[in-house]
Amino acid sequence: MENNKILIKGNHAIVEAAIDAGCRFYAGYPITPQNEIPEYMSIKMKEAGGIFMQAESELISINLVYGAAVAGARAMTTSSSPGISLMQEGISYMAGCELPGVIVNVQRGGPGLGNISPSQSDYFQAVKPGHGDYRLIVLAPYNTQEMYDFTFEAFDLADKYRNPVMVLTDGLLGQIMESIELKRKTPELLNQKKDWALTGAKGRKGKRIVSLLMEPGVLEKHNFHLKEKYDLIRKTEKRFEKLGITEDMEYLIVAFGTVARISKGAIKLSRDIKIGLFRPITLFPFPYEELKEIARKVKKIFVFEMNLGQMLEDVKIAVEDSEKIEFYGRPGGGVPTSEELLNFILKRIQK
Amino acid sequence: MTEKVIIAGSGGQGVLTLGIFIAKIGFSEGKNVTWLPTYGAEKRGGFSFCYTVVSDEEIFSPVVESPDTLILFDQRAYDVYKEKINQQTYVVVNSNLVKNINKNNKNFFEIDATKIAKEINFIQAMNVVMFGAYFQLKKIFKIETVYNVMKQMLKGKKEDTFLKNKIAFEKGMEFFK
Amino acid sequence: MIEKIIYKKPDSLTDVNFSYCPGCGHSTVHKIIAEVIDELALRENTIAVAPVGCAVFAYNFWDFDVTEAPHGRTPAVATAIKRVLPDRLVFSYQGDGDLASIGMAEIVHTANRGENITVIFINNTNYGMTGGQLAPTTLLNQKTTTSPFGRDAKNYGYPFKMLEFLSPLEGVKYLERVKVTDAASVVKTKNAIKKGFSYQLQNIGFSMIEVLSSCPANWRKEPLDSNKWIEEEISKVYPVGKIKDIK
Repeated sequence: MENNKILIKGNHAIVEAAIDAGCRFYAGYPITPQNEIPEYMSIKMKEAGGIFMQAESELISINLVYGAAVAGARAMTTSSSPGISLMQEGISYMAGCELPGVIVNVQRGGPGLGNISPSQSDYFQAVKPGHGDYRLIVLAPYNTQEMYDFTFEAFDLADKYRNPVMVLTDGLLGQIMESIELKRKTPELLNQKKDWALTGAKGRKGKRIVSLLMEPGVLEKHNFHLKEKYDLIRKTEKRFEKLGITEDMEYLIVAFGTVARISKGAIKLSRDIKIGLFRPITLFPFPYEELKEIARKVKKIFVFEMNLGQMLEDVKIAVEDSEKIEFYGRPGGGVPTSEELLNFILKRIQK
Repeated sequence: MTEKVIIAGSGGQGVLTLGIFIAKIGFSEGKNVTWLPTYGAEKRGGFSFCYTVVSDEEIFSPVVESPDTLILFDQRAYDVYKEKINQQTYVVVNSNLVKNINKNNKNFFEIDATKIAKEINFIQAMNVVMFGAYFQLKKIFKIETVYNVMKQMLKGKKEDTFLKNKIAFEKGMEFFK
Repeated sequence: MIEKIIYKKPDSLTDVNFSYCPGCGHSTVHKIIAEVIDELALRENTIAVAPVGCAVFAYNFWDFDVTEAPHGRTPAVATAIKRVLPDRLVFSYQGDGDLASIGMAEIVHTANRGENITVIFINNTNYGMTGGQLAPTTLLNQKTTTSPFGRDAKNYGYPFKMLEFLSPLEGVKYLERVKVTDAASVVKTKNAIKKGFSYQLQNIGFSMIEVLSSCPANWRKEPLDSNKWIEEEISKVYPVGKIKDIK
């Protein structure tokens, strides 16, 4: 056993990461399968001397995070799909006001109340979110280590770009227990000065943090400013993983999160099929160009998701010849097995 | 080495705890492990199961479709998972609560873990008796690790809680010696 | 020559002219708040949360730090600011649509948690900014653009008395209803707001001051008639005075 490794549940890893990243304000509301987060956070935040609040709804959760961000705190909320729907209003306001904050979505099956099984059906909601022209930075972990790492990094990203960041995970990753290495380092931007925060107008005029911009042309200008920021994010923050991408590769799987790890299992089982995996880690910014490059060389591209084809749309934007794409998805809480994915691949290859 | 275990029974029988116990033992021995519980509305009495995978290799899916071992605490658990039994599968059932079986497998083992746990006046340790049997039958883990992890998991409890669990474990182990 | 200042604009107001309708209560209450903050020397130590509604523009007129909240979420935003910066004066400023309708859960739970903030609640019995629609506070028989035949209880329910509703909650420490129809009532309002802010500075807990405020444009009345209507009709349903004061 390595000394710096611990065995931990995904939802608990999120809490450890947030505390390590200097998050000192948390608000959350109970919803399965993320309840371990507020439960564990109620202990850990107290130990860290921060503020833990059990909000009375997800609307209140996200607006508490909004307020904490206004005051300059590193703040987080967590929920699962239906709860994230309720937060859409607040998230849009945060994006409009350029407020940093971290939102974790431990996805479950939908639509509606759905079920509590793992799902990836909130891809659209995360990557192409609520009202107005805005973007979230979206990180998609695929194991417990990344639950910790990405939650940790989300706080620096949020502060760096003054933008809400979403960690898009699911009930499976939230519930499994795996070993991880805790980093226990100081986040780079923890002590970065937040000149924009409202802390009282000491020796200056009053400041505003608002998203209502009614004067003619001002909102349009603001949107162009936001676009510049998103373009910068597209340029600098794109992340992905390539596995088994070789010169003579014939097939490619594109998958993120839980399905990416199950796809790795399918590749292992496939033995002599020349197949690789492309795993987008940031869903926004989506690695279009990199995928385009690899996609050119292969005969078929398999897109696997736990939904009915949401990331598929981005893959279609990336891939020049979308005839090559074969999609297999499990909606409503269905989790594919590696064997199931391999069977699909074999059938389509033989066709 | 890869060992995929499904443990199933009813809420309150220690299904999830046993899964964590096995995961922690594997982890302590330097293996990759995953543990995935059922989660949801049911607490006591509801159907409860968990998947534990212990492996020298990277574990891709924590969902166990074809288990190497089934540890089944009651009839409902057996009925749900009997379809997954093949000739290689190790099956350990609590014969006190699993009566109606079709024993068509060479690795099918029955132990009245409820009775044994009652005999040592520690009914809560039925799951530990079951683990003792599993430990002895599969011989995957070191006994020192079992004791270490047991101690670690019972940290903060009374000293004799550990001793009672140790006895429960040994009773289960001895049953198949 | 000796100059004596007998009247000046409060430092906590910007040079921007109020853009509210003639006779609207918001301008008066904005100025009262600015005066109180000046008198307590808190301009550099205040963070306000503006609502959605006419007063969304409050930040144009106040020269201290102001943010705005999504509709009705104002007390949640104020709560977090106060929790993060407990030594600042934090208040929310909300209309009756914002507070008593869409933001009901936020105000009730903020009050019940006993958050140490002050809420200024402007009750003008309708949605001003969107064109005078019915609010939970609209009087029975009052005509609005969505109750053109008058509010009848059978269809629209009854006028919502927020202070009386919040009063039993243990977290609530000070509630007072005031109006701004004449010089005397303006002074009373100022005292009430000052008291609310002072309680917050003493960490006493949640306070809320409801101001019966006129909306001549949407009431289709002249400003003076509007004030008269507050005196004669509105304050019958919403009586002014202290509702709760734990001190």
